Amino acid sequence: MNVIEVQNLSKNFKIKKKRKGFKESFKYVLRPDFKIIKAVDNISFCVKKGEIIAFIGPNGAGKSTTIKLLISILYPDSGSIKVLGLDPIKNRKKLAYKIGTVFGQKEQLWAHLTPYDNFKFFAAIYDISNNEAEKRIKELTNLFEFERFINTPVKNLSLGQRICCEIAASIIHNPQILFLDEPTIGLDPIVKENIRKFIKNMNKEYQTTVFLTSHDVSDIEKLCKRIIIMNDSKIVIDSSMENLKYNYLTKKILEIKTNGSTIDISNIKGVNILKREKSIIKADIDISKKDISDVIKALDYKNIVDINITNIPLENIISKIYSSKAAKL
Amino acid sequence: MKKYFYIFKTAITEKISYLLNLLFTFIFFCLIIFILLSIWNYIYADTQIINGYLLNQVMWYVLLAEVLWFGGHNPIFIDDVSNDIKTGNIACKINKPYNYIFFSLAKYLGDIFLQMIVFLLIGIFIGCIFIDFIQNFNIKSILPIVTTYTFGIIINSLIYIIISLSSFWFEENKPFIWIYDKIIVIFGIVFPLEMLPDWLKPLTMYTPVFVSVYGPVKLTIDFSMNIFYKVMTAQFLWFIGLIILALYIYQKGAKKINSNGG
Amino acid sequence: MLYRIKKNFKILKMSFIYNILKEMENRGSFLSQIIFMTINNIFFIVQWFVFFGFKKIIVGYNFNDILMLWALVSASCGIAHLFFENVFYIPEIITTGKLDAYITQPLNVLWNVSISKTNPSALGDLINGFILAFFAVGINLYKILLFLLFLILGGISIASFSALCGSLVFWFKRGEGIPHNLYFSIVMAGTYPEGVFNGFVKFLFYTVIPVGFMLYMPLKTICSLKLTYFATVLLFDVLLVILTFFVFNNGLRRYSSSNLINNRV
Repeated sequence: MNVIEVQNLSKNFKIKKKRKGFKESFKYVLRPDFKIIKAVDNISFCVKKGEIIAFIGPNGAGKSTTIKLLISILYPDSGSIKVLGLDPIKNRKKLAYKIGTVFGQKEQLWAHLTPYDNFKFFAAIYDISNNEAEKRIKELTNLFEFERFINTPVKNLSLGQRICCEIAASIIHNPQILFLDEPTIGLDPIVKENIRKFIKNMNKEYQTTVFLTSHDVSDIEKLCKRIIIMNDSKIVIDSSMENLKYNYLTKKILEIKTNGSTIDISNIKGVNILKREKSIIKADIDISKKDISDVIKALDYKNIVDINITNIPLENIISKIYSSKAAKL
Repeated sequence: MKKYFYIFKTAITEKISYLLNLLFTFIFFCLIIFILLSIWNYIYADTQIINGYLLNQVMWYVLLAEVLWFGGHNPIFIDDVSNDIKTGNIACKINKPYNYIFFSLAKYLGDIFLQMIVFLLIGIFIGCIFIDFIQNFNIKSILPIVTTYTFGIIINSLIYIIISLSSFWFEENKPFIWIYDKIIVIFGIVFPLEMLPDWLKPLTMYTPVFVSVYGPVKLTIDFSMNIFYKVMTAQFLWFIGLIILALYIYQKGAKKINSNGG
Repeated sequence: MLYRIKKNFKILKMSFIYNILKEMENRGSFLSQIIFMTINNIFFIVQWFVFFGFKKIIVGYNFNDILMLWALVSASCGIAHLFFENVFYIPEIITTGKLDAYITQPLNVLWNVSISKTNPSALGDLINGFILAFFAVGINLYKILLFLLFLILGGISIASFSALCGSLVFWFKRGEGIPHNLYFSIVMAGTYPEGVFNGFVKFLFYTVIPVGFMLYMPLKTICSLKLTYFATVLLFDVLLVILTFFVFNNGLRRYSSSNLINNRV
């Protein structure tokens, strides 16, 4: 069942073209020039219930705009959106009961209240009865290990604690879809890991669909089975993680440490030397041209002390996709 | 000195695009002028002269005082400084190679430069249409008058800057702004100093009202070298005093910085 | 429908209590705010003494009437700031993109925004209003009742009008000065009775800045006990509130279709 259906969605922004300097600024007031920016250009995709999707792209690609279109903050210029069968514009309130949103850089919590008071407040907003609310708060406290700071005002919490509270508050009503816009930005690795664990659990237990935007590639790698990449206001990739790695993982990195004597591997086909120091050689191997096993067979193993074969990091793959213009898949 | 002028110029450039916003403030400006002129018309219904002021003199007083008040208002600046202090952002500004007080002054003046000019022009225009001209207005006195206006504006700006610095100690400094605004409005704009009860007059001489509103405006409607010297002296003393106070408060506050984490 | 009203008032109650508690935590600041507000109001009373130094009688109004007018201004502004303080921040909220958080919640956006902030120093204004009203009409129960009614209506209309003006920022991008100037205009207008103003300004007070409906008509009703004015005031308030919601909701559309300053693309 599709929980999100987007068809031919487009959104433009009109920006005044500003000119440099003092004199030009005066002219600009009297006769402003407008520039149309295509933030989202005719995109279409569907999301099934229970999926955890990574929705990524370089800055300015249109990701935040798309999310805002899905959650009724922005209105589309053309195309259709259906979230849980509802039109976000016509059924904003109804939809609000069923979705949760976390913006990494914006706060929804009341800074001077404790997490407990905040949760009570949000429970009231989402029509949760007092008893239910207490139960839910207890659940969340256990899940996130809030006991230590549940009664400390939010403004006195660390960033990690605050984001955990934001996420908890956004799911207090057990939403069917959770939209996360850069939730782990600025957090330390341990907190990030906790948040990832939590999202996985929620998805497993409640079949919550998760729509995640993040610049943190490990978030994406560890959580998401499907990835949509936007670039230049269009969707350039929409595939499962597996396929992405399979199609784009055409290279492996080979690192060899020798006992001092030189080894020449540049003559092996498909091998491209990246770095050569006294006893360390780093090369990448185009596995579409040469099987990795062949390369290993061709090595002079007698002089090798250590060897490392790794995949190209997902980060590099994604960067490569970001830097190419809207490529056809 | 050059860098402060550059800050001043940049603030003006930023504000140019917000000229449209002035339209709103202009509507309120006109409304309040009309209200005050109405009130004074009513008061003068059966007299010609009160406390040495003719009706048109009082009206010009009120008009010009209002121009200074509207033109010198910069609530965004005050909020920005307060927020900077409260969130700890000011820590970033402390280690820049300029003096924060002079930076703020340059920025404040740049911010209000355009609106001051606009309100001055509009004010004079309205005045020329609705009020009789000032008697004995001597064009030669323009330079001294402009000087007092400039200092008056600078003093007003410094006071607002000092109030926003109070954020180092007080979470809410809006009450201070209200009090200061009220002082200026009641004792400087609605009524010229001479109109106040005798027991109140000596007190008000020592408030900022005398140097930032009354002095410059009084000289415009009734210039005399005597008053000019009085006003200039007072302004000079206030200016030096405020600069010292501002620097002192900033130093104390900077030591006290308690940056919020996260 | 009834459920929705109940829920909205429940949220209002929670917001209000939470905000008051927050302010009370910082006891020094809370108390000083109230003190400052009272001092504030004293300044305006000084205005009156000076004014009455020149004019002993104002046609049609005696001193008690003026006290009641000031009571209405003070108390109505108090109500507006106590329960709907955030309407005065609407321009800022729109231009800094903070509206997003309110849009994603299942409440009417304007209502949600309006009630999520309290200015407890407005309590000083409200108390002032009651004290002045007591001096104005004594223990005349009927007039006190009317006063209570009008201060609630007045508070709603002031908040609503401020929200309406603040909503113009959806179209005009920078309007941080609006609430401040508007508030000042209302208080200024409400410090002097109608009779003082000439025809043109009076006209403005029933149109551009409708203090005529917010303050002068209630005053006339309390003084004359003629209920015709009451009906007009009530009608005006209802229409104003409807207009405000209409304009704000239209503005939301525009918010959604333009690139405001801090919108991240």
